[in-house]
Order: sequence, then structure tokens, then C-alpha cells
Amino acid sequence: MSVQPAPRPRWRPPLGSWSMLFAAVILSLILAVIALVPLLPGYDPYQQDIFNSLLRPGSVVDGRIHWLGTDFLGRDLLSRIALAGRVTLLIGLSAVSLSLVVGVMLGLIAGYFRGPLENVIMGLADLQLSVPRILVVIAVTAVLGPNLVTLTVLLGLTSWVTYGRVARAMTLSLREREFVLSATTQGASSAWNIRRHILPNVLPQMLILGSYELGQIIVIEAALSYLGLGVQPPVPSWGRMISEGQDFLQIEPWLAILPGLAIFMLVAGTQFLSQRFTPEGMQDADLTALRKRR
Amino acid sequence: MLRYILRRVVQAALTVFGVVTAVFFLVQLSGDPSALLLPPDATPEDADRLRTSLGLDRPLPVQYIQFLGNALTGDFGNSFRQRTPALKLVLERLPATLELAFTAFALGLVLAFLASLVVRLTRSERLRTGLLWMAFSLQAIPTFFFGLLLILVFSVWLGWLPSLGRGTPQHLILPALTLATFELALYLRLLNSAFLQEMGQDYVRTAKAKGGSRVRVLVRHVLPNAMLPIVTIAGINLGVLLGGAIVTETVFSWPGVGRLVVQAVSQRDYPVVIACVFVISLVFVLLNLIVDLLYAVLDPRVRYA
Amino acid sequence: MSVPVLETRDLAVEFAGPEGPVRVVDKVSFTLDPGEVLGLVGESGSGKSVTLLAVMGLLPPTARIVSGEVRFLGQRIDTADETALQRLRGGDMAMIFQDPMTSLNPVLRIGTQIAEAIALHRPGLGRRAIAARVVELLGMVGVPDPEARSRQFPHEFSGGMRQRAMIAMAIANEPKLLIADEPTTALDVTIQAQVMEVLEEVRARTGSSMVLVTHDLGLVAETAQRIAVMYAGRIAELAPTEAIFERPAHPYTIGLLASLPSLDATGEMLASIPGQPPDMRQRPPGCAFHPRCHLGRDRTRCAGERPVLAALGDGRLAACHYAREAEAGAATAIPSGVGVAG
Repeated sequence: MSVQPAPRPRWRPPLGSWSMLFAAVILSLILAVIALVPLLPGYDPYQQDIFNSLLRPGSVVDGRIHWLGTDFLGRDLLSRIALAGRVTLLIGLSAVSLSLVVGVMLGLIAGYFRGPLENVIMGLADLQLSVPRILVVIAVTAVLGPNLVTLTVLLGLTSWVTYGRVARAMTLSLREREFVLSATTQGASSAWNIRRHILPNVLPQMLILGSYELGQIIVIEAALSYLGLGVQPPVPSWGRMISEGQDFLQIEPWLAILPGLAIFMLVAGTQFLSQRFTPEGMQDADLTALRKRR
Repeated sequence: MLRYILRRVVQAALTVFGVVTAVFFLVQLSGDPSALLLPPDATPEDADRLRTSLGLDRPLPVQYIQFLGNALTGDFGNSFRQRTPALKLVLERLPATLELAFTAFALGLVLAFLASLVVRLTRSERLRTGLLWMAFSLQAIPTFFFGLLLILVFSVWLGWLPSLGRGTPQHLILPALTLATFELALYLRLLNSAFLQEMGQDYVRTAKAKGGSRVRVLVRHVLPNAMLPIVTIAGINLGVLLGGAIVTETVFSWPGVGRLVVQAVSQRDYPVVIACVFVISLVFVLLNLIVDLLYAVLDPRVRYA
Repeated sequence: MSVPVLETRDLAVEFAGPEGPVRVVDKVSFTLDPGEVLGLVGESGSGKSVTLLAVMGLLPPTARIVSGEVRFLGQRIDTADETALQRLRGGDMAMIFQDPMTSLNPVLRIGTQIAEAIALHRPGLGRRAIAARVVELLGMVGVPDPEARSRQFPHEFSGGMRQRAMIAMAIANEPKLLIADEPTTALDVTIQAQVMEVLEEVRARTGSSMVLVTHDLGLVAETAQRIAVMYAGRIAELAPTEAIFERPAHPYTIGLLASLPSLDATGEMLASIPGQPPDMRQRPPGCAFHPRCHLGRDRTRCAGERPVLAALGDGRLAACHYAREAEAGAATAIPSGVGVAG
């Protein structure tokens, strides 16, 4: 064939470098708030002051500046946003780690050993996908009651499917590669092969996937907390702050908007950046899921 | 074709079976319901009688079979709060949820297709980048927060649309738009890459060589091919859509299954929770089945596979 | 003399590359007379397909015609607007592509795709008449049970059958010009001959002129009246088929002929051209072929001066400074037995 294929532009991040800069800026900003605000004097997410509730951003009470104002109980909004961010990150990172470990393990086992085990694991994955993730969490929360540990474990256990599927697909192709075959002929055990040859090849992809999933988990956690089924008071959470702020939408919309903005900054920041490092063909976690399905 | 349908139907049935089994274990986890059902002054004999009448004294496998039978006949017991069958409560709410979900689904899909076609036809790189920016940003905003922003702008500030409840078509606009936004963002991104990929295919060149105009080549040849991945994603994504509906319904006090399940959970009304989980899963599995069959109609290569 | 069906003059095409434009077709001039078949031969990347995509106005967005002109029945078409080109394409000017596996739309029925080619150029024709014509066309190209087959999808057709369907689509409006871009390359060897036969038969019946692009000299030998050999984006030699085979005047043509499997060559290693075709981003100075040429490798003129396509008489043209010398040496370089079949 002598038609030069139209020189396809080399893959670039979908939105170019400006968006990456934007993502880096908003992510650093929100992370700075989460990390540094608790070090400031006057940080107190719990102290109520009914007489100074619903204050506007920048109000000063007894020499203490409420940079973002106060909520309906007079608590400092900036302090609460920072603490809620820590809680959210803690839940998100733990849940992602848990689901990553579970997903990679099941995916490696399914892809490496094949057989009935693979069918069981993949059947489980299909079953999992046939119920909306948030519904599973809601249903189990109904039974076990809402608390931080349950929530984290649940989010982790219901999010393994993406990793599992991709890890399995990668393992399927890796196990046929020369370096694995040659190791096998030299007497390497399955455990050795998986640890030395397959895992190191699968892991970078999984971490990228994890950084994308972190955003998804944060959104789901926020939604659950908004519904009153996630993080329980008095511990602050962005989702719950929005739900509390909804009641004051007419007089003080900032109460709901600021925590929403915090979620956006954290989620958009991590997702844009994770997109940047996702290789072509896997840019869309959804498309990846599609390929594994067909 | 027939074998394909058969295989998918069996698959769907197996999934429903799996869901019911999972729900059974969930019920086991929830512990002894007699404590919740009986008045505080009930005697231990009362509790035993109730357990016997509920079949809770039988061995687990028997209870499981019984539960399967009940689930098949749609009997999930009575709501703890309202003395009516749980399934009836759920089915009463189902039309509202379906109305919201379908409107949002159609809205998101149509808007995404229109936007993508316009991008392709104008070949405007600026428009394409702008839309992608929008899509990526929208996907980072939680559904409920976006709904709240819509309420703030259109109900609180402008006063154009109602923010709560169901009834008139105006009531549907904001919740549907909220739920559609996530769809829109997803499909915009997918369509963008699907179009880019399909435009480079050889059959597109053939269509041009036949003398087709740009619009014709795009609509008649590229679009049907670009739609295929979208249909599959739409199927997978129905779960997200229904999940989003649960949250959206709460934001807008939309009287659907989602709002029901959230209320039932906070009231520990297990039969209703279980019935909700069952119905939503069933709807999801059925819709997925329909989407897959639709895919087979759209893609001749699957039909005979 | 009648107006040529197709004429290109000094056609040049450039692709946008990361390090500036790359010229992949340069100063290509040829004519195609009514009813004539011209073979366009060259290795991959020699610019032969790009030349014809340029003729059809189907260059990918990254490529453009930078100079020269293309005339169809005497009219400039390189400068024509898109609407005029759309009327020509598939009507008076049709193309058959290399890979029938990917060149047909997978989600549309074969009959629908052929019907589209008809309907686009005969807007007045009714559905029934179009359907009848589709069946007639499929029958013409030797698709058995054309009525039922027209309702099938591409994946239900074998490679050979798909290419027949492509041919049916191309001849649907009895084009004056057929462009066949390696029509049999993607097919099994056993199918190739059948498809070529069908192609030549329907071409003769519709009286179309044809440009047949291939890298297989043997294939054009039987079909083409004249052959143009392309190398590195330029025409190296253009001559009547018989002359190409009997008195080749360009060392590259001689090399190509020498690498043809011959009937007499019993187990002998095939002679071939040493080296690789040049990277189009770094075209050698002078004659692009000289680094691989047995005549020009050490000559300063070949390394310094670009040869132009010059007439040698009897309608033969060659772009070589030492064409006469090449011609004289050709007899020894080519194994006997290679020639025009039939």
C-alpha cells in the first residue's frame, strides 16, 4: 500500500497543556487549604457561636477572622472545609487502596490461572456492575448503620471491578509474552512469575486508574454524605455541608457553593492530571470497560 | 440472532438470581426483624410466634428457597412503617423515576449528538476544545451539587422554574437537566473520540469517492458507526444514571424510588429497602438487555455471531 | 487527436510533517486516452496512490496539491470546488480501493451501498429501478445469486466477493475514468486473477479508461497499454507496455523486471535492487535513485543533477541521464522469459 496514512498527530492530553496548568493550580490550591488551614491560629471546625451564625466571608468576631464566614451554627466555614477535606481524602485514599489491592489480586488470579476461577471472578464483576454502586452502598449502610469505617470498606469493596477487569486483560496478554514463557521453562513458579514479571507491568496502569477512581470515590462519598448516609456529624463532610447549606440557599448561597467548589477543585484536579498520564487507548475508563466487555 | 438473544436473556436471568441471593445475605446481616416488628412490651413467646410465622426458625437453606420463591412472586413483606406490601410502595414510585431517567437519558444523548455533529460540520477546533473542556469540568461536579446550582440560578435568582416536587412539565426540567448533564459530558467525550476514529476509516473514503457530500458521508456513513460504542456505553452507564437518579430525586424532592430508598434506609424499613434494591436492579438488568439487543440490530456483525 | 480523459501536468503534492512539508509527489505528468489502460507501478511509498487520490480530490487533510494541474476531459479539476468534484466522483470518475475489508461500510447492506452510488448521480431514478440496477451490476461482476446477496452485509462476503461489490459500485454509473488502487493486493493469490478478469471485462464493456495502480509489474503486463513507473514521487519511466518489458530504459525499471519471478528461473535467486527506497524527508540530491543504481552509483552527474523525463522515441520516456546505456545493458540484466503474456 503506498498511501502514506495521514500523519496522525501524536497523542496529546485531550485539552492541551493549559488545562494541565489549570488542573495543577486548582489541585495545589485545595490541597494547600486542606494541609495548611489547620495550622493557622483560630482554626476550630467545631466551636459553635449561635450569635454569629451565617456570617459573610471576611467577617471579624472578637479579633478572629472568618475568612469564608460561618455556618448556621456559627462554626468557622474555612476550618470545616479543611477538616472535611482531610476526612474525604482519608476515605478516598483508603477506599482506592483497598479496591486497587482487591481488584489487582482478583484480576491477576483470573488472568493468570484462567479456568473456573476466572469465570467465578468475572461473573462476580458482572454481578457487581448490574447494581448501581451507590445503591449497594446505600443498602448495606441501611443494615450496618453509617460509620466511617463501614463507608470506607464498602466504597473499597464495591470499586474493585475496573481494576480487576483491566488487570485481567493485561495479564492475559502478558502471560503469553516471551519473558514469562522463558521464565516458566526455567522452572519459575506461578507466584514468582506474577510477582516478578506481571505485577510490575500491571501496576503503573493501576495507579493511573486509581488516580482517576479517586475522583469518582470522592464524588460518591460526597453524595452519600449529602443523603445523610455517609460521614456522620459532628465530623464535617463536604456533602453534608452542601445539604445543610441547601436550606439557606436563598439568604447565604455561599454555604453550599464553597464546599461544592472544594469538591470540584479536588476532583477536577486529580482527574485532569490522571488523564494526562493515561496512555492512548485507555484515555477513557469507560471505553476500557467497553473493550473488556465485547 | 435467536441464539444471541437467548444467551443474553439467560445471562440477565442469572444476574437477577445473583442479585436476589445477595439481597438474601443482606437480610441475614440485618439480624432479627422481630425486634423491630414487635411492640416493646412483647413477651418472648410473642417473639417466638412471630419468628415461626415468618419462617425464621427454619434452617438457612430452607429460608433461602422460601426467599427465592417470595422474590419471584414479588413478595418482600410489608413495610415496617406503612402496613402495605413493600413492592407496592416501590412500584407506585417507579413511574416517576423512569420518567426522570428517560427524559435525562434522551436529553443528554440528543444534546451530545447535536453538539458533536455541529463540531464535525463546522470543523471548528475551538468549538471542539471548548466542548471538551465543558465535558471534563462537568464530570468533576457531583450531580447533586450541579442540581443545587441550577436551583440557585433558575429558582432562587431568576424565579423561572420550581425547585421541588413533581407535577407539571416545568417541574421536570431542572431535575432532568441535572441528571442529563453527566450523560451529556460522558457522551460528548465518547462521541468526540468515536468520530475522530471513524473519520479515518477506509469506508469513509469510499463514501466520498461515490460523490457523497460531507453532510451525507457524516450522517449516513460515519454516524451509524460512531453510535455503536455509544450504545454499549449507554447500557453500562445506565447504572450510573439510576444511581444519579437516587441522588437527584433527593435534591429536588422528586417522588421516585431513589427518594423512597433513602427515606427507607433512614427509617430502617428493611422490606422497602430490599424491594427498592430488587426493583432498581431488575430495571437496570432489563434496560441493559434491551440495549444489547438494540446493539445487535445496529451492528450486523453481532447479529450472526 | 481526441481530448485525453485524464491529464496531469507537473503535479506536486506535499504532506504536512513535523519538520516541515514533505513532497511525496513531484512533477508528475501523464495523459490517459479514451479507452486506454495505464499501469502505474512502483514500490510502497513511491507516491502512486497519492497521485490518484490527488486526482480524485480525496487527499487527506494533511496533504495538499502545491503545484501543477489535473485535467479531466480537458477541464481543470484540481481547482474545482467541492460540489463540482462531488458530481464527478462516483459519476464520471470512480475509484476502486485496495482493501475491500475496510473500504465497505460495515453497518450498511451491500445493496444499499451500491444503490447509494447510483442514487447520488441519478436523482430521478425510482427505488425499484435502482434495486434492479444493483442486482444487474452484482450479476455483471460475477456475484452469484445477486438478489439475495445484495441484502447481505460486508462481513458476510468473502474478500473476493467484496472486491467484486466494490467494482460494481465503481462502474455503477459507467464512469469515463476508473481508478483502481491495487485492487487485488489484499486478496488471496487464487482470487486475484478472477477479480482482475472481472475488472477488465466490465471496464471493456463500459468503455472506461483506467489507471491501474500496482506494485506488481506482472499484473499490469496483461491489462495496460502503457506503463508509468514511479520512484520516490516521480515518474522514472513511461512507455508502452511492450517497450517497458523489452527495452526498459531506466535502471530502476530494469531492477523491477529483474526481480520478477520468471518462468525459466529454476530455483535461481531472484535478482533484486540493493538498498532501500529513500526517506522522502531526505531525498538524495540529483537522481533519487542513484545510491541504488548500478550505473549512477559513482557518477557525479547522477549525484548532482536531477534527470528530467525525456523522450527516447516511439512514445518512450525515461528520466535517466544514461538511458541509452541502461537500455543497452538491460538485455543482460533481465532473465529471459519475462515478457508480455499472451
